[in-house]
Amino acid sequence: MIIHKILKMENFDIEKLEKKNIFTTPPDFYREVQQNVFNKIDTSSQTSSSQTKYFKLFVKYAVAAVVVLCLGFIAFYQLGKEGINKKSENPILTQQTDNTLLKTEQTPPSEQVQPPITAPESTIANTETPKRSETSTHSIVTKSKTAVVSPKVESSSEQQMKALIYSFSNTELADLSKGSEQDIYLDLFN
Amino acid sequence: MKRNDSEIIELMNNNQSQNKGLRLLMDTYQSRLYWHIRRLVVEHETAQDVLQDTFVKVYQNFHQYKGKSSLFTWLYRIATNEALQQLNKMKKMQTIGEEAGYYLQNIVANNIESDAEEIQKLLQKAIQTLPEKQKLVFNMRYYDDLPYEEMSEILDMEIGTLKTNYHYAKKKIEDFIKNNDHP
Repeated sequence: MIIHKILKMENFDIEKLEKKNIFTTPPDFYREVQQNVFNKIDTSSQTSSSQTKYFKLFVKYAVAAVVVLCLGFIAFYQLGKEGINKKSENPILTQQTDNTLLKTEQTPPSEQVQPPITAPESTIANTETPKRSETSTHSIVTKSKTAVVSPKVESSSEQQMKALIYSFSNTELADLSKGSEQDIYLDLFN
Repeated sequence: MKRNDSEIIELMNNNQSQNKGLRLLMDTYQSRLYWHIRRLVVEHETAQDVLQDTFVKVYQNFHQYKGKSSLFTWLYRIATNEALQQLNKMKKMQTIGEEAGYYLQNIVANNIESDAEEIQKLLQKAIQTLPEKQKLVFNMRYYDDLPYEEMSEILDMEIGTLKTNYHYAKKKIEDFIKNNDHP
Protein backbone atom coordinates (compact mmCIF):
# COMPACT_ATOMS: atom_id res chain seq x y z
CA MET A 1 0.00 0.00 0.00
CA ILE A 2 2.82 2.32 0.85
CA ILE A 3 4.38 1.85 -2.54
CA HIS A 4 1.12 2.90 -4.22
CA LYS A 5 1.08 6.07 -2.22
CA ILE A 6 4.63 6.79 -3.21
CA LEU A 7 4.06 6.07 -6.87
CA LYS A 8 0.95 8.15 -7.02
CA MET A 9 2.79 11.16 -5.77
CA GLU A 10 3.25 13.58 -8.58
CA ASN A 11 6.66 14.60 -7.51
CA PHE A 12 7.99 11.11 -7.00
CA ASP A 13 11.73 11.34 -6.72
CA ILE A 14 14.09 8.50 -5.99
CA GLU A 15 16.41 10.98 -4.31
CA LYS A 16 13.92 11.05 -1.47
CA LEU A 17 14.12 7.31 -0.96
CA GLU A 18 16.31 5.99 1.80
CA LYS A 19 19.56 4.75 0.35
CA LYS A 20 19.95 1.19 1.51
CA ASN A 21 22.19 -1.73 0.67
CA ILE A 22 19.73 -4.59 0.39
CA PHE A 23 22.17 -7.15 -1.02
CA THR A 24 23.06 -10.08 1.23
CA THR A 25 26.64 -10.60 2.38
CA PRO A 26 28.29 -13.47 4.24
CA PRO A 27 29.57 -12.58 7.71
CA ASP A 28 33.17 -11.41 8.10
CA PHE A 29 34.07 -12.02 4.47
CA TYR A 30 36.53 -9.11 4.42
CA ARG A 31 39.01 -11.20 6.38
CA GLU A 32 38.79 -13.85 3.66
CA VAL A 33 39.31 -11.15 1.03
CA GLN A 34 42.52 -9.94 2.66
CA GLN A 35 43.86 -13.47 3.14
CA ASN A 36 43.18 -14.33 -0.50
CA VAL A 37 44.87 -11.14 -1.66
CA PHE A 38 48.06 -11.92 0.28
CA ASN A 39 48.02 -15.51 -1.01
CA LYS A 40 47.77 -14.28 -4.59
CA ILE A 41 50.57 -11.79 -4.07
CA ASP A 42 52.89 -14.44 -2.62
CA THR A 43 52.12 -16.80 -5.51
CA SER A 44 52.66 -14.16 -8.14
CA SER A 45 55.96 -12.98 -6.62
CA GLN A 46 57.27 -16.58 -6.58
CA THR A 47 56.16 -17.09 -10.17
CA SER A 48 57.74 -13.86 -11.32
CA SER A 49 61.07 -14.64 -9.61
CA SER A 50 61.21 -18.11 -11.15
CA GLN A 51 60.19 -16.64 -14.49
CA THR A 52 62.95 -14.08 -14.17
CA LYS A 53 65.44 -16.86 -13.44
CA TYR A 54 64.32 -18.86 -16.45
CA PHE A 55 64.40 -15.78 -18.65
CA LYS A 56 67.98 -15.00 -17.61
CA LEU A 57 69.01 -18.59 -18.34
CA PHE A 58 67.30 -18.43 -21.69
CA VAL A 59 69.11 -15.22 -22.56
CA LYS A 60 72.46 -16.77 -21.66
CA TYR A 61 71.81 -19.82 -23.83
CA ALA A 62 70.59 -17.66 -26.68
CA VAL A 63 73.73 -15.51 -26.56
CA ALA A 64 75.92 -18.63 -26.48
CA ALA A 65 74.07 -20.10 -29.46
CA VAL A 66 74.49 -16.89 -31.44
CA VAL A 67 78.22 -16.81 -30.69
CA VAL A 68 78.66 -20.42 -31.78
CA LEU A 69 76.70 -19.77 -34.98
CA CYS A 70 78.83 -16.74 -35.79
CA LEU A 71 82.05 -18.65 -35.18
CA GLY A 72 80.80 -21.51 -37.32
CA PHE A 73 79.85 -19.16 -40.09
CA ILE A 74 83.23 -17.45 -40.00
CA ALA A 75 85.01 -20.82 -40.07
CA PHE A 76 82.88 -22.00 -42.96
CA TYR A 77 83.54 -18.80 -44.84
CA GLN A 78 87.28 -19.12 -44.28
CA LEU A 79 87.30 -22.71 -45.49
CA GLY A 80 85.38 -21.72 -48.56
CA LYS A 81 87.83 -18.95 -49.25
CA GLU A 82 90.80 -21.29 -48.95
CA GLY A 83 89.15 -23.68 -51.34
CA ILE A 84 88.66 -20.98 -53.92
CA ASN A 85 92.26 -19.87 -53.51
CA LYS A 86 93.47 -23.43 -54.13
CA LYS A 87 91.33 -23.73 -57.22
CA SER A 88 92.59 -20.47 -58.56
CA GLU A 89 96.18 -21.76 -58.25
CA ASN A 90 95.48 -24.66 -60.62
CA PRO A 91 95.42 -22.65 -63.87
CA ILE A 92 99.05 -21.87 -63.15
CA LEU A 93 99.88 -25.56 -62.80
CA THR A 94 97.86 -26.60 -65.83
CA GLN A 95 99.30 -23.76 -67.86
CA GLN A 96 102.80 -24.86 -67.00
CA THR A 97 101.92 -28.43 -67.81
CA ASP A 98 100.42 -27.41 -71.15
CA ASN A 99 103.62 -25.65 -72.01
CA THR A 100 105.61 -28.70 -70.99
CA LEU A 101 103.44 -31.00 -73.06
CA LEU A 102 103.53 -28.77 -76.07
CA LYS A 103 107.26 -28.75 -75.87
CA THR A 104 107.29 -32.51 -75.53
CA GLU A 105 105.13 -33.02 -78.60
CA GLN A 106 107.06 -30.61 -80.69
CA THR A 107 110.36 -32.29 -80.03
CA PRO A 108 111.48 -34.86 -82.55
CA PRO A 109 110.29 -38.37 -81.91
CA SER A 110 113.75 -39.50 -81.17
CA GLU A 111 113.96 -37.23 -78.27
CA GLN A 112 110.62 -38.22 -76.90
CA VAL A 113 110.64 -40.95 -74.36
CA GLN A 114 106.93 -41.74 -74.39
CA PRO A 115 103.79 -39.95 -75.37
CA PRO A 116 101.76 -41.54 -72.61
CA ILE A 117 99.23 -38.89 -72.25
CA THR A 118 97.36 -38.92 -75.52
CA ALA A 119 97.78 -42.57 -76.61
CA PRO A 120 94.39 -44.18 -77.11
CA GLU A 121 95.62 -47.60 -76.13
CA SER A 122 96.98 -46.10 -73.07
CA THR A 123 95.86 -47.70 -69.92
CA ILE A 124 95.63 -44.44 -68.30
CA ALA A 125 92.08 -43.23 -68.09
CA ASN A 126 91.54 -39.80 -69.37
CA THR A 127 89.12 -38.11 -67.17
CA GLU A 128 89.58 -34.70 -68.56
CA THR A 129 88.05 -35.02 -72.00
CA PRO A 130 84.61 -33.50 -72.26
CA LYS A 131 82.98 -36.95 -72.58
CA ARG A 132 84.61 -38.35 -69.49
CA SER A 133 83.50 -37.74 -65.99
CA GLU A 134 85.40 -34.94 -64.54
CA THR A 135 85.11 -36.08 -61.02
CA SER A 136 86.97 -39.40 -61.23
CA THR A 137 89.54 -39.81 -58.57
CA HIS A 138 90.85 -43.29 -59.30
CA SER A 139 92.77 -42.73 -62.48
CA ILE A 140 96.08 -41.17 -63.18
CA VAL A 141 95.17 -37.91 -64.72
CA THR A 142 96.53 -37.09 -68.15
CA LYS A 143 96.20 -34.06 -70.27
CA SER A 144 94.96 -33.94 -73.83
CA LYS A 145 95.76 -31.19 -76.24
CA THR A 146 92.19 -30.06 -76.55
CA ALA A 147 90.98 -30.54 -73.03
CA VAL A 148 91.43 -27.63 -70.77
CA VAL A 149 90.60 -28.23 -67.24
CA SER A 150 88.40 -25.62 -65.72
CA PRO A 151 89.57 -24.97 -62.23
CA LYS A 152 86.01 -24.30 -61.25
CA VAL A 153 84.86 -27.85 -61.96
CA GLU A 154 87.63 -29.98 -60.39
CA SER A 155 87.41 -31.21 -56.83
CA SER A 156 90.19 -30.66 -54.34
CA SER A 157 91.21 -34.33 -54.39
CA GLU A 158 91.65 -34.22 -58.15
CA GLN A 159 93.76 -31.17 -57.76
CA GLN A 160 95.94 -32.97 -55.27
CA MET A 161 96.31 -35.89 -57.64
CA LYS A 162 97.26 -33.59 -60.44
CA ALA A 163 99.84 -31.90 -58.33
CA LEU A 164 101.28 -35.28 -57.47
CA ILE A 165 101.40 -36.39 -61.09
CA TYR A 166 102.91 -33.17 -62.28
CA SER A 167 105.65 -33.71 -59.79
CA PHE A 168 106.68 -36.86 -61.72
CA SER A 169 109.05 -36.49 -64.63
CA ASN A 170 108.21 -37.88 -68.06
CA THR A 171 110.50 -40.79 -67.51
CA GLU A 172 108.81 -41.73 -64.30
CA LEU A 173 105.39 -41.42 -65.90
CA ALA A 174 106.46 -43.68 -68.71
CA ASP A 175 107.62 -46.29 -66.23
CA LEU A 176 104.31 -46.10 -64.45
CA SER A 177 102.29 -46.50 -67.61
CA LYS A 178 104.16 -49.61 -68.62
CA GLY A 179 102.91 -51.50 -65.65
CA SER A 180 99.24 -50.55 -65.98
CA GLU A 181 96.50 -52.61 -67.56
CA GLN A 182 94.03 -51.67 -70.23
CA ASP A 183 90.76 -50.39 -68.95
CA ILE A 184 88.15 -52.26 -70.92
CA TYR A 185 85.32 -49.90 -70.03
CA LEU A 186 87.07 -46.84 -71.27
CA ASP A 187 88.33 -48.62 -74.32
CA LEU A 188 84.78 -48.73 -75.65
CA PHE A 189 84.69 -45.03 -76.06
CA ASN A 190 87.95 -44.73 -77.98
CA MET B 1 45.37 14.43 1.71
CA LYS B 2 43.80 12.31 4.41
CA ARG B 3 46.06 11.28 7.27
CA ASN B 4 45.51 7.65 6.47
CA ASP B 5 46.34 8.17 2.82
CA SER B 6 49.78 9.64 3.47
CA GLU B 7 50.57 6.82 5.88
CA ILE B 8 49.40 4.21 3.38
CA ILE B 9 51.47 5.77 0.60
CA GLU B 10 54.57 5.90 2.77
CA LEU B 11 54.21 2.27 3.81
CA MET B 12 53.48 1.08 0.28
CA ASN B 13 56.48 2.86 -1.17
CA ASN B 14 58.81 1.08 1.23
CA ASN B 15 59.67 -2.51 0.27
CA GLN B 16 59.99 -3.52 3.91
CA SER B 17 56.53 -2.33 4.89
CA GLN B 18 54.53 -2.93 1.73
CA ASN B 19 52.42 -5.70 3.23
CA LYS B 20 51.58 -3.57 6.22
CA GLY B 21 50.65 -0.73 3.90
CA LEU B 22 48.42 -3.00 1.86
CA ARG B 23 46.61 -4.22 4.94
CA LEU B 24 45.98 -0.64 6.06
CA LEU B 25 44.78 0.26 2.56
CA MET B 26 42.36 -2.66 2.50
CA ASP B 27 41.02 -1.89 5.96
CA THR B 28 40.36 1.70 4.89
CA TYR B 29 38.79 1.21 1.49
CA GLN B 30 37.59 -2.37 1.09
CA SER B 31 33.99 -1.65 2.12
CA ARG B 32 33.46 1.28 -0.26
CA LEU B 33 35.12 -0.51 -3.13
CA TYR B 34 33.22 -3.73 -2.46
CA TRP B 35 29.81 -2.05 -2.61
CA HIS B 36 30.70 -0.10 -5.71
CA ILE B 37 31.65 -3.38 -7.41
CA ARG B 38 28.70 -5.28 -5.96
CA ARG B 39 26.15 -2.83 -7.35
CA LEU B 40 27.62 -3.42 -10.80
CA VAL B 41 27.98 -7.20 -10.80
CA VAL B 42 25.22 -8.04 -8.26
CA GLU B 43 26.50 -11.47 -7.14
CA HIS B 44 28.61 -11.59 -3.96
CA GLU B 45 31.12 -14.23 -5.16
CA THR B 46 31.79 -12.27 -8.33
CA ALA B 47 32.13 -9.04 -6.40
CA GLN B 48 34.57 -10.66 -3.97
CA ASP B 49 36.74 -11.98 -6.82
CA VAL B 50 36.78 -8.59 -8.50
CA LEU B 51 37.66 -6.86 -5.23
CA GLN B 52 40.56 -9.25 -4.64
CA ASP B 53 41.84 -8.75 -8.17
CA THR B 54 41.60 -5.01 -7.63
CA PHE B 55 43.80 -5.11 -4.54
CA VAL B 56 46.33 -7.40 -6.21
CA LYS B 57 46.58 -4.95 -9.10
CA VAL B 58 46.94 -2.06 -6.68
CA TYR B 59 49.80 -3.85 -4.92
CA GLN B 60 51.59 -4.73 -8.17
CA ASN B 61 51.19 -1.28 -9.72
CA PHE B 62 51.45 1.01 -6.73
CA HIS B 63 54.69 2.43 -8.11
CA GLN B 64 52.56 3.96 -10.90
CA TYR B 65 50.54 6.06 -8.46
CA LYS B 66 52.05 9.51 -8.74
CA GLY B 67 49.72 11.37 -6.36
CA LYS B 68 48.08 13.51 -9.06
CA SER B 69 44.65 12.35 -7.88
CA SER B 70 43.50 11.24 -4.47
CA LEU B 71 44.29 7.68 -3.47
CA PHE B 72 40.61 6.79 -3.36
CA THR B 73 40.06 8.12 -6.89
CA TRP B 74 42.93 5.95 -8.16
CA LEU B 75 41.60 2.88 -6.36
CA TYR B 76 38.06 3.55 -7.52
CA ARG B 77 39.23 3.75 -11.11
CA ILE B 78 41.00 0.40 -10.90
CA ALA B 79 37.97 -1.21 -9.25
CA THR B 80 35.67 0.23 -11.93
CA ASN B 81 37.83 -1.16 -14.74
CA GLU B 82 38.00 -4.57 -13.13
CA ALA B 83 34.22 -4.63 -12.65
CA LEU B 84 33.58 -3.58 -16.24
CA GLN B 85 35.94 -6.29 -17.49
CA GLN B 86 34.00 -8.80 -15.42
CA LEU B 87 30.71 -7.56 -16.88
CA ASN B 88 32.13 -7.97 -20.39
CA LYS B 89 33.11 -11.54 -19.56
CA MET B 90 29.63 -12.19 -18.24
CA LYS B 91 28.09 -10.78 -21.43
CA LYS B 92 30.19 -13.11 -23.56
CA MET B 93 29.15 -16.06 -21.43
CA GLN B 94 25.42 -15.37 -21.80
CA THR B 95 23.20 -17.70 -23.89
CA ILE B 96 22.16 -16.43 -27.29
CA GLY B 97 19.23 -14.01 -27.17
CA GLU B 98 19.52 -13.29 -23.48
CA GLU B 99 20.93 -9.86 -22.72
CA ALA B 100 23.17 -9.19 -19.78
CA GLY B 101 20.70 -6.62 -18.40
CA TYR B 102 17.92 -9.20 -18.13
CA TYR B 103 20.36 -11.66 -16.62
CA LEU B 104 21.39 -9.19 -13.93
CA GLN B 105 17.76 -8.32 -13.21
CA ASN B 106 17.06 -11.98 -12.66
CA ILE B 107 19.93 -12.51 -10.27
CA VAL B 108 19.01 -9.43 -8.22
CA ALA B 109 16.12 -11.39 -6.74
CA ASN B 110 18.53 -14.15 -5.61
CA ASN B 111 20.94 -11.73 -4.00
CA ILE B 112 18.78 -9.38 -1.97
CA GLU B 113 17.41 -9.69 1.53
CA SER B 114 14.04 -11.37 1.54
CA ASP B 115 12.55 -8.76 3.88
CA ALA B 116 13.79 -5.83 1.84
CA GLU B 117 11.21 -3.22 0.83
CA GLU B 118 9.53 -3.74 -2.50
CA ILE B 119 10.51 -0.31 -3.71
CA GLN B 120 14.14 -1.04 -2.96
CA LYS B 121 13.91 -4.30 -4.91
CA LEU B 122 12.37 -2.48 -7.86
CA LEU B 123 15.01 0.18 -7.63
CA GLN B 124 17.82 -2.40 -7.88
CA LYS B 125 16.15 -4.13 -10.83
CA ALA B 126 15.65 -0.78 -12.52
CA ILE B 127 19.34 0.07 -12.12
CA GLN B 128 20.26 -3.18 -13.92
CA THR B 129 18.26 -2.10 -16.98
CA LEU B 130 20.51 0.93 -17.49
CA PRO B 131 23.34 0.97 -20.04
CA GLU B 132 26.76 0.45 -18.49
CA LYS B 133 27.91 4.07 -18.40
CA GLN B 134 24.59 5.35 -17.05
CA LYS B 135 24.60 2.67 -14.37
CA LEU B 136 28.10 3.69 -13.33
CA VAL B 137 27.26 7.37 -13.20
CA PHE B 138 24.03 6.77 -11.30
CA ASN B 139 25.63 4.49 -8.68
CA MET B 140 28.57 6.81 -8.09
CA ARG B 141 26.33 9.84 -7.69
CA TYR B 142 23.36 8.28 -5.93
CA TYR B 143 25.03 5.81 -3.57
CA ASP B 144 28.61 7.11 -3.19
CA ASP B 145 27.79 10.82 -3.31
CA LEU B 146 30.85 11.52 -5.42
CA PRO B 147 31.20 15.07 -6.72
CA TYR B 148 31.01 15.42 -10.49
CA GLU B 149 34.64 16.61 -10.63
CA GLU B 150 35.86 13.40 -9.07
CA MET B 151 33.57 11.30 -11.27
CA SER B 152 34.99 13.11 -14.29
CA GLU B 153 38.49 12.07 -13.23
CA ILE B 154 37.53 8.46 -12.62
CA LEU B 155 35.44 7.93 -15.74
CA ASP B 156 37.31 10.34 -17.99
CA MET B 157 34.07 12.05 -19.01
CA GLU B 158 33.05 15.69 -19.17
CA ILE B 159 31.05 17.01 -16.24
CA GLY B 160 28.21 18.06 -18.57
CA THR B 161 28.03 14.54 -19.98
CA LEU B 162 27.96 13.10 -16.49
CA LYS B 163 25.07 15.32 -15.46
CA THR B 164 23.12 14.41 -18.57
CA ASN B 165 23.73 10.72 -17.98
CA TYR B 166 22.58 10.99 -14.40
CA HIS B 167 19.43 12.86 -15.38
CA TYR B 168 18.43 10.24 -17.99
CA ALA B 169 19.30 7.37 -15.65
CA LYS B 170 17.07 8.78 -12.94
CA LYS B 171 14.20 9.22 -15.39
CA LYS B 172 14.48 5.65 -16.68
CA ILE B 173 14.52 4.26 -13.15
CA GLU B 174 11.45 6.18 -12.12
CA ASP B 175 9.59 5.06 -15.26
CA PHE B 176 10.64 1.44 -14.66
CA ILE B 177 9.40 1.49 -11.11
CA LYS B 178 6.06 3.03 -12.15
CA ASN B 179 5.58 0.54 -15.00
CA ASN B 180 6.56 -2.52 -13.01
CA ASP B 181 4.54 -1.94 -9.94
CA HIS B 182 2.17 -4.93 -9.63
CA PRO B 183 -0.18 -4.59 -6.71
